[in-house]
Amino acid sequence: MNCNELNQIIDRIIDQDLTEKEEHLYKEHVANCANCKAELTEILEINRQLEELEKIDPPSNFTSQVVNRAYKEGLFTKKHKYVSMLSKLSMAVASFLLLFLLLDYTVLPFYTQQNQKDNRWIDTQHYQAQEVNPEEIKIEREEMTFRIASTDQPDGERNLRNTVVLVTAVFLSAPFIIEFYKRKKTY
Amino acid sequence: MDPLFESKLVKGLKNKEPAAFEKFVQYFQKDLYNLSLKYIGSEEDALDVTQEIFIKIFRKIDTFEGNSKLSTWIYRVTVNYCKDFLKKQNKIKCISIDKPIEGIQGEYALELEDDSQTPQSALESKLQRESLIKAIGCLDDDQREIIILRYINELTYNEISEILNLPLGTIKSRLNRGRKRLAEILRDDGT
Repeated sequence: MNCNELNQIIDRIIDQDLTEKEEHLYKEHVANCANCKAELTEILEINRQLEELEKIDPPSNFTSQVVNRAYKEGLFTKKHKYVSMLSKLSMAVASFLLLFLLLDYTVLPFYTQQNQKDNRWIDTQHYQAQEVNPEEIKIEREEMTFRIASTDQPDGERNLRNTVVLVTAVFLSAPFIIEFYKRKKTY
Repeated sequence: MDPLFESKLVKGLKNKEPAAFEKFVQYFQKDLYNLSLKYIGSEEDALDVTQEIFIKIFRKIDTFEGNSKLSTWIYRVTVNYCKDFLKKQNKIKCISIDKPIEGIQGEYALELEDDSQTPQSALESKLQRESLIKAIGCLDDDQREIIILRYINELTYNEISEILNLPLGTIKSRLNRGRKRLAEILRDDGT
């Protein structure tokens, strides 16, 4: 193999696409030709450096920027635009209703209970300060309990109301969830 | 890209579905951004150009007939767009070796880290990479685009040939000349 022949197979040396015979011949030539050896070493080094070049990530909000621009330029069909907007809006309403349910079953009963306890304690202190007959305290407590109970909604009515709220929330969130899974399944 | 996924994506894009477009951008943004960045040399311009390319592709998606792979078509559009951009801007593409490459997030070439090296060799590698990126900017258009497609976008000779609409032999010879030219530029820079 001569210098010119070596020059013609440099790309195949880089791609490691040589036959055993070609590999033997080029190595033999390089061992005896300082110029070719220097040139090949340099090219292989450039190739190594090029292969090590890393890709740079675009900014994390790049996708949303491009998609928002497409929205602004009206590139999507109106049907998709309105469906997407409506599903997001109904999901927001559903979230609000679910939050109401959560509060109704967690914070509100605790608050009512605590309120009842506080009222009882204040009343007891009040009666004791006035040295009222304990029998009167008992009657007063019963009246108070009755008062609190009468201002609360009956359990059945409350449960019915909350069931209606829950069902409404499920219906309202359905379009958003369906759209989300459809998108995930399709792409 | 999986052919089934590609056909679904193309169908979604042709139906002008936001979800398809979002997935499409997510899938190709890194490749197209790096192609534009190495082609143009400025991070800020590359971001604008990449955004323009995505919008342009979405507008023109109906003209994609599926005769080639979607990625091939997209790369072709990107390369042509970058060429036009440089012509319009009348930019001097060869960046001075002495001048650092500035971007929005600073000198991006110097941001690359490699924990496996000693501080001195890491610094040498960084400088080496920086010089190499600048040297790519000094190549002729025809050599630079092949070097970028081959080494940055990691495409095969056949894919590059299809994108640039050039024979395989031309691709290989330009790549060879590009590597030799890079060696020359770096050698001159070192002396």
